[in-house]
Formats: sequence, structure tokens, C-alpha cells
Amino acid sequence: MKRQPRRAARAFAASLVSATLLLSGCAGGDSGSGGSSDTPVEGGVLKYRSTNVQGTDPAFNTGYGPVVPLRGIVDSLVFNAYDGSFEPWLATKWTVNDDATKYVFTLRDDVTFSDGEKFDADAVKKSFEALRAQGAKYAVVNSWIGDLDKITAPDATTVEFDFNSPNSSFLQAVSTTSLGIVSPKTSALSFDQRQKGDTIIGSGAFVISDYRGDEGYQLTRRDDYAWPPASAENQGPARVEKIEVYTTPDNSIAASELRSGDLDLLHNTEPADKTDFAASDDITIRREPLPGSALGFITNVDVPGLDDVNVRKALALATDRQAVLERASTIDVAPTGVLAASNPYWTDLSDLIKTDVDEATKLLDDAGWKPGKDGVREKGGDRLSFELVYGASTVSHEPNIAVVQAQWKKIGVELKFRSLTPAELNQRLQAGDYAFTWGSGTRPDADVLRSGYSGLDPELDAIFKQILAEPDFDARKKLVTEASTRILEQAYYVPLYDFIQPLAFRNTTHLPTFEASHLPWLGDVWLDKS
Amino acid sequence: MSVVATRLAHAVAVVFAAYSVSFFLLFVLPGDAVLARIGTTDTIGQADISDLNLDALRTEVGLNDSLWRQYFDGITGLLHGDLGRSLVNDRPVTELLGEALPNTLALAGLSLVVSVPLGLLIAVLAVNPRSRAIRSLASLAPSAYVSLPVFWIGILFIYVFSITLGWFPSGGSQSASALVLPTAVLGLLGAAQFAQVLISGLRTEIGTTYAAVTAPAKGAGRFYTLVRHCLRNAAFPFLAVFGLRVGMLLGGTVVIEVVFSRSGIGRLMVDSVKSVDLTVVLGLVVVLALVFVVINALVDIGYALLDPRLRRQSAVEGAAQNQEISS
Repeated sequence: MKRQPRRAARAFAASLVSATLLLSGCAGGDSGSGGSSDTPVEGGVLKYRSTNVQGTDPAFNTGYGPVVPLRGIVDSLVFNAYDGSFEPWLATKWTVNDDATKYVFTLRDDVTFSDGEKFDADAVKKSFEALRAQGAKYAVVNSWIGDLDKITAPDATTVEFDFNSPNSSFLQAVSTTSLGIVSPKTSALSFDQRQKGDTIIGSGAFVISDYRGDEGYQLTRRDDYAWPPASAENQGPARVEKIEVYTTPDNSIAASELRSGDLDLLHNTEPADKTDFAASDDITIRREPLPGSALGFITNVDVPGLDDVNVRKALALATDRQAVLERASTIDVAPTGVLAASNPYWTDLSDLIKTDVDEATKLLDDAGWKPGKDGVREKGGDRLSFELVYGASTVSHEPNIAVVQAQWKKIGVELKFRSLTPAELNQRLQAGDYAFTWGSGTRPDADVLRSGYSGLDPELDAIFKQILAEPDFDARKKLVTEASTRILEQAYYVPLYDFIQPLAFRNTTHLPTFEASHLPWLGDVWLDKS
Repeated sequence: MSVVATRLAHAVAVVFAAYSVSFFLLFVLPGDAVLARIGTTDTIGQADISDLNLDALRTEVGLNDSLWRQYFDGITGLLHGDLGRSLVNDRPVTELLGEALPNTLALAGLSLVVSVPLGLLIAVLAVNPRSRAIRSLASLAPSAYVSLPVFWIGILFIYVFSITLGWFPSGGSQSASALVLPTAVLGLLGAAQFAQVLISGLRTEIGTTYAAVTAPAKGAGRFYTLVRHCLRNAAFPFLAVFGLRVGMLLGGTVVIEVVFSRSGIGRLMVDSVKSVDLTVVLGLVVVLALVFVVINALVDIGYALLDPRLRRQSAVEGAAQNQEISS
């Protein structure tokens, strides 16, 4: 009598298991068919999380994470499409002179800012001049603007930029959110007023409707928005009604919220979560490398030991990227040059990135670096012991750096590494007090090389100068390949793997359009009806 | 009246000392706010910082002045009630504090309100019941809870009550329900600390002659003796811990505010130290010093109210009466 219920329970459990299997089988089938081929749905709230959000001033926020929602607030003069080409946006056409010292933009005349002000040449002029006037406070964006002489607005739909020295990267700079056009009312504000969070007014598809300080903000779509970039799928107002921006500091909590559906889109993911997302049926993690440079170590050639090209070459040869990738998260891919493969100016230079430990040892022996008592090679009082410094955002790469550390130890080179606060890192970079720093420029432009490698080598500097004065795409690409080849041959850089910006989203979130900088175009984003 | 004057002078001295010590200690931090604000390599367009002329900006925010000049300007501002502007975003420090303080006060206040009766309850449960099991459990639980890291408990609560069960939001400070989880973590911590102190106090008291012999002889029950007689005597160490706890709550909301993604002075402190935003950090130091001064005064008054012997000393009596009138 007593056994019967137990048997019944077992049968019930078995049927439950098979039912679950059936259910999960169905779910698997469903997720396969869910893709961008479905018809877009109107409405809904996109819940996005980013770290490092500092107010909403586009000119002050340059990190990828905070810029994603800011793209909705301000439009730019030109749109840098995913393939690297430039398309009309607020400007209908533009011209560049032969040495990239004069840019003339012709503007649309049917655009308004969300405060009702009309968009015209004067608004563009004021928007740029506001940044110039604050000078060092907008140091980063002003360095992209370059050596600007004057801005003139001959009529309401024409604006001209004159430069004292060439800046062929200006068009790409103009396409960024940081140089997005703000309303004359915003241009008239002081720097601290722009940092208040709810004071930025643009012509974008969204407006700031609620600001919650450190905790994030809310964007609401503009129903009269009618000027998206030409390659956007959706030429009317944005599909989602609202965007909630959260700033959850802890990556693992944010990852769990994405799993549970409390978030739709997530920036910044720990390696373990990346691997997990890559295998998930509900979540997609982008695997396309960012179009900047590959991740790796940038060398300070003023450090004793690293001034010797043979030592640099030996370090590059001693680095086994395959072993590093086995340790890294499953989504990372091997480098194919100084630039990431997704950079429009990329060419395949993977035959210059090799591993040959024997050759590395031979190079060091021949150059006279002999192993000391502790196994670290030395010559004339200098030791091959180097420090790699980087900011907090690189901490998640530390297990992979440790793999390199072990590889270098085998050839008698010591590598120490640690993360620094932005203030200390920048101080040491400026003072030259480092041996290696982590390279990760993410600008989809030829000029990204100059920021990492200028001042190392007169030959390289000459190429960089040529790049700045060359507005033609093919000619620039040739120069970039020349520079990249020299960087790898001289081993100024030890690339490890391409930079995958950890942007993860639920499969119910659809991101059909991306910019060259891999920012999603928010007007096209849509969510499945829940 | 002279007591009040002494107290005030004491308060000014504490704030002044805290400001000065922090001011000079902060200059040990590597780098400066100007270097911090230009960002790192994690940008959509890398900045070539070696080419940037940052001295203009340093001059603008006053970082190029001599240390003494900056200190003097800071103190002068403090005397005028002006805490200066953030070195990072130029906003007035008083404005930033004004945005952050209410959130932290709500969290700290609410968790105190929860933790005092809860701590009392646990302490009584650890001493009063006849069941040995209940007594052991009630006296062990606080020690166990206190020994766990706060951020770990916070993350655990978020996983269980927000992500898995979906009862409360995981963070933010926009709704009242968002207060539940952080208040629970902090309130339990406070309750555990209060309980620890009260338990040891009550155990000592319950063994003394008046409680163990006299009160039962007069026919008083165990619970009555505990609450009416022992609690008052055990309250002294409790009050000392209470004072410390309030101070710790304000400064110590750092972890909670970061884990629960709430804006508040703890999170402001973390961000400001990271970006070497000296003026904001110093502003926070002033606020925290003031809080400690006020709490200390209240604790002293509490002592006087609890112990008639202290009240008889005329000096303290004056302070207590003043407080009674003003409150």
C-alpha cells in the first residue's frame, strides 16, 4: 500500500521531465526563427545599462557605453555608416579641399531642435564655438577638432571650417556624438550648466525626459522626428517609445538582470558572463571587433631594454596568442594587424604577427642580454623587467595578461602589471613613467594610429602627417598600411586580440543598424511585444 | 550657557581639523583631477594626451596655485559656507551634496529605525527564553551576520529578492520599494551590532544580585526584571555603539549605494576620490565631521538622561536642559 504513491510520483516526475524537454525543444525552435527578418514592432521601452555615465553632455562623454544613448539626443552633420563610408545627415553635401584644410557643409533646412529652435548654419557655428570657448575643459573633443582657424556661416544653409593645418580626420570627428549639434540655447550654457544632466537639447530622435543623477536617465522619442541618416531602415520617428538608461555599477548584477529580462541591452560584461552569453539561447553578445586598433601592449621606447629593436622583436615573438585566446573568453579573435579587422582602413598583416620562442631566445642572446641570478636577463646594469599599466576597464583582461607574463618568463623577461586610477594613469603616461600601456583606441579612422604611436619614430611621424593631409580614402588606406607594417616590424606594438566591445542584448531586442563606431542607430531599434 | 559655547568651539575645531588633515592627505593621491577628467583609452576616439595642454585648465580650476594658497582659499570659502566647485564638472559642491544627502539620510534613518527595536528583540530572545536552543540561536545569529561582507549580502539579496523572486527593484532610489532591500541589509547589520552589545550587557546584569536575587524575591518575573531593571543598565554600552553606528551608517553607505546603484554621499565619495575631485571630497569630509559632532553631543545627552548621577553634575545638566528645551 505504501509503495503505490511513490510509484505514481515517479511516473509523474517522468512525465514532467519529458514535458520540460518538449517545451525546451519548442523554445529552441522559436529562438531560431526570431531575427531581424521579422516585421518591426512599434512602441515599448528599451532598458539599457552602461557604466561610466557622467551626465548627458555628449562633448564630455566619450566612452562607448555612455555614448550609446546620447546618440539619440544629438544628430551629426554626417553619418559614418557601418562600412566606413560617410552619408548625408544634417548636411546634405560637403566638400573638402585637397590638403584637408577647408571643409564646406551644405545643411538641411527642415530640421528643428527639440526646443523649437531652427537648425541652421548659425546653430552649427555656435555649437562648435561653444566647445572651442571652453578650451581645455573639452580637451579630448578639441583635439579631434584640431587646429581650427575659423568657422563662417555665409548663409543659413552653408557653414565653412578653415584649418591652420590639415585635418583629414575632421569628417569622422564631425560624425561622432561628441561633435553632435546642440541647440543655440545649449551652446549658450556654461560648462557646469551643461553637466546638470537635463540641459542638453539636440535635434535627435529622442529628448531627455527624466534625469536621475548618478542613477541614470530616461529618453522619450520625438514624434516629429523626420531626418534620420539615409541608411536607416526607419525614416520616421523612432520605433521604441522610451529608453531607460541605468548605471548599475556591478557587472555581475547587470548580467543577471539581462538574463532575467529586467534589461534589454547591456554594455560591459565580465569574461565569464561573455562565455555564458555566447552559449545562451535568449541572449546575443556581439562578436564583431570594434573598428579601432587591436588590443595589446604599446611600448615606451625610452625605457632601457625596450630601446633595443631586438628586445622588442623577441617579446613579440615570445607571445603566443593562441594560448592567450584559449584563456580569454570564447568570443575573442586573434589579431590580424595593428588595426582591428573591422576598421575601414584595415589590411591583413597577420603574417607579421608570429610566435617563435627559439628565435626570440636567439635574438636576446645575440643582443647580449644574459640571464641573471633570478632568471631575468640583464645587460650593463639594466634588467629586462617591465611594468604594464592600464585603467580600471582593462582589469577584466588581467587573466590573459598573466598568460603573456608566463610566456615572457620562459625567455627570461619579467612582466609586472597593474591597474591605476585615470588620474595616475594619465600622469604616468604623460611623464613617460611606464614600459608598456594597454592599447585600445576605438576610432574607426586612420588617425587612430597617431594617438598610440606618435613620437616613437621620425619615419612614422612623417607618415602620420601625410595621413592628416590626405582626404582621399584609398590614398589614406595605403599610408595606414605603410604605418602599420612599420609598427609591427619595429615591434612597437604587441597585439594580443581584437577588441570586442561587450554589447549584449536579449533576443527580443533588435538592433538592425550600426554606425562605423559600432554604436546602434536607436531610431531603428525595436523590441518584440512581450 | 558656557557649556553650549564649549560644545560649539569643540564642533568648529573638529570640522577644521578634519578639513585640514584631509586637505593635505589628499595631495598624496597620484595625478590630479585635470588628468582624471580627460578620460582613458576606453573612448570612442582615443585621445592623444601627450599633446594636450592641460596647464590652462589647471590654472582655471586653481590647481596651479601653491598648496598654501589653495588651503587658504579653501578655509576662507568654508568660513563663508562656500565649499567651492567640483574640479571635474564645475558644479557647486553644495549643490552636489544637496542632491546626494537626502537619499543617504533616508536610507540611514530608516535602517536605524528598523535596527533598534530589532536589535532589542534579538537581545531579549538571547537572554530571556527558557529554551536553550532559542537563546543560542539568537546570540549566534548576530555574530554570524556581522562577519559577512556587506557587499556579498547585498548581492545575495538582489539575486534572491529582485532577480529571482522579482519582489523589489534591484536598485535606484526612485520608488519607496527600492528602499526595501538596502534598508534590510543595513538595518539587519545595525540590529546585529546592537544585539551583540546588548546581549553581553544583559548577561552581566542578569547575573548581578539585584536581578538574580532581589527582584525574584520581590516577586518580579524574569522578563519584567530584564526589561525594567537590566535594560537600563545595559543601555550604556549600547548608547556608545549607537553613536558610532550612526556615523558609520552615513560614511558606510558607500558599499550599499554602489551595490544597489543608488545615488548618495557614499557613491559620490567613491566617484570623487577616483577622479581626485578634491573639492567634493573635502565637502563630504565637512558634512561627515558635522554629523559626528552632532551625534556625539546627542549621545552625551543620552548618557545624562539615563544616569541621574551624571545629571547631578551641574555642567552636564545645563547641556541636557538646553537640549530638552530645544527639542
